[in-house]
Amino acid sequence: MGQFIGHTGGFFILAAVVLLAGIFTAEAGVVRNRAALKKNGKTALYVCCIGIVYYLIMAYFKNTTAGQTSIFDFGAVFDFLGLDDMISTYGEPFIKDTLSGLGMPLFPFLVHILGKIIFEQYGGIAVWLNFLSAAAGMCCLYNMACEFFKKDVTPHMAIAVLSLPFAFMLFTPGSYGWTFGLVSASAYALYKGNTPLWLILGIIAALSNKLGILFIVPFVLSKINTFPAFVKRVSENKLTSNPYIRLGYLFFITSVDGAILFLAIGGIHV
Amino acid sequence: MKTEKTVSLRNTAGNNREIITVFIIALLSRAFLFALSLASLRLSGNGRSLIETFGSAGDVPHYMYIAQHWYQSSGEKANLIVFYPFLPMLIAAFRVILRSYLASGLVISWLSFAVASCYFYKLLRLDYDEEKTAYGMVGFFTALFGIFFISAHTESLFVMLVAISIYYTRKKNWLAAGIAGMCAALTKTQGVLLFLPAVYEIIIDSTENKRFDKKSLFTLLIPLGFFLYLLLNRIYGGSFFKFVEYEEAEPWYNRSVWVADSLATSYNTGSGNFTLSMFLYWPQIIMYFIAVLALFVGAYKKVRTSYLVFIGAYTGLTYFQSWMLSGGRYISSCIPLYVVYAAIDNKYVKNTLLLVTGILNIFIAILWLQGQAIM
Repeated sequence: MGQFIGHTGGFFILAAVVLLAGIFTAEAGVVRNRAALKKNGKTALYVCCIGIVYYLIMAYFKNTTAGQTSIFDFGAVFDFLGLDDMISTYGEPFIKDTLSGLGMPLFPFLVHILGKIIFEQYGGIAVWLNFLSAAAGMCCLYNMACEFFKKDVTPHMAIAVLSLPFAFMLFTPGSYGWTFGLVSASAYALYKGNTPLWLILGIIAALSNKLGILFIVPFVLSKINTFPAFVKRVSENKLTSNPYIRLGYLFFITSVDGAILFLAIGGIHV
Repeated sequence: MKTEKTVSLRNTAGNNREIITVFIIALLSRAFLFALSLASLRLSGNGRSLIETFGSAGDVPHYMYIAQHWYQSSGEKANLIVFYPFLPMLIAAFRVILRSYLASGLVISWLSFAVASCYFYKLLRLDYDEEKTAYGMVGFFTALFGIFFISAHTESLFVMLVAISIYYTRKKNWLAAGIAGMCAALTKTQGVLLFLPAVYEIIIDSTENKRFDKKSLFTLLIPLGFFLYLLLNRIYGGSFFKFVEYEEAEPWYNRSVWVADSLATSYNTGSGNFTLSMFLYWPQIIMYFIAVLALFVGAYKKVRTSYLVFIGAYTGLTYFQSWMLSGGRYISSCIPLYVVYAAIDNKYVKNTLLLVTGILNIFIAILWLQGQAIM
């Protein structure tokens, strides 16, 4: 129970910090379009809530199957990923191997530096960076979609992305959420015509996780002149516009996602 | 006939008659709390000496010692460098007139509370009407652990300096804000956090007016106050952060940890002792969540963001302690929290909170007078 109270307390004060940072961006004129800030804030909040749902599912089932800790012991999710113990036992070199996912050093290095400042809370820092980055990345995709389709894309877009298989990995202490955010932001930068920013964010993504190299994909797609028209045609197709088809897809994809998450919780390496 | 100027003066931070009224009511509120608590204590058959109660409670003997002998470089009192110097300095100054260290501490506490109330009133009147201001004031008067605004602790002095600093920050009187903030930084660790709302207001002011006011650099006095305290550590302890070493050692065993660990420790330690969990640990856990909840409520109610920044930083810094015993007292001293209370519109919620805090305030005061573990 003590851990539950502690983690909940830590979570809420960090959420408050993020909220105040958002208010600051509006009041200080960093972001002038308050309507856009509100919409993006809602999207970010939605992503974080989905992330918490994933987290609760992982913590609940892992703890009930393990049978050793309280079902409210969210910190044990780190245990499931073997993170905190490994960090405290092996120190920095192991961070590079464990956190890097596919062996790239930048994310674990960032977590290590921040951990030296913030009471060695490596697991919490890694999770928070992933949450915030995934939320920021989704906001970038959301804004890009709104501008491309020239209409307000519904939040269902967020759930469509976050229910994809392996989406739960975005909210774990690995570097996937962080990389997803960077790749999405780089794609948005390219869409807005800011090629240098696309390159910088893409390189950071690639240095964080080998999957970050996928930042090149939007660049390749942008060179295919017929690609934008193709996307519009697909989205306006009667089949894909049909709500039953869409909901059916959502049902299918969340089922697959759930099955993979179940296997992951069961400890089978995915 | 009311002129526009008269109305404007009246609406801006209260007139002199109102301020004097608030001053007197604040003193009376302390006297009432003290008298009611003492009467309850005596009627229950407890004849504990008041001199002993006020003179030996918590950190009071330490402040009295510093006021009398100042900091020591060696010996068993060397670790008193963990206590900040401004209150002992004031006690030593008042003692010249009052001839008693304890009496000086008590007078400073009562006067500081009254002045704090006046500046808090002026602060509330900047943004809220009379009714909300009245709620905010009453909320402040019924603060849990309000007994510490009567005793010779740093709480009264600290809330006064915070109220003054934040008020003058709002009025863009950067020099006054800086001086008050510097004194607050020399009173408690949390005092240096006044720099954050000041910086926030400076940024907003610069953005709105599209120019940087050079006088705002006076707010650098606030971190200077903390630096002066570090300098005392260097002079008397040999290193700038000697106070950290002493806090980690006996008798405090306190080091900096993440809030999650602090809260977990509070719960786990209290689990083994029902009485202490009721007096110490559960109150500080609950007060933490009240403070954090206030941030969200305040944001929703559009309370001045610089106040919320202070509340957030104050709460975080307060709970970065591995073995905390006074979390409830510290949160009660976070004066912008009562602005959030004033901003609530729902009267049912406000009145219920007032009822609960009013009852608990007396209860805590009596327990403290009894010598229970209220810290």
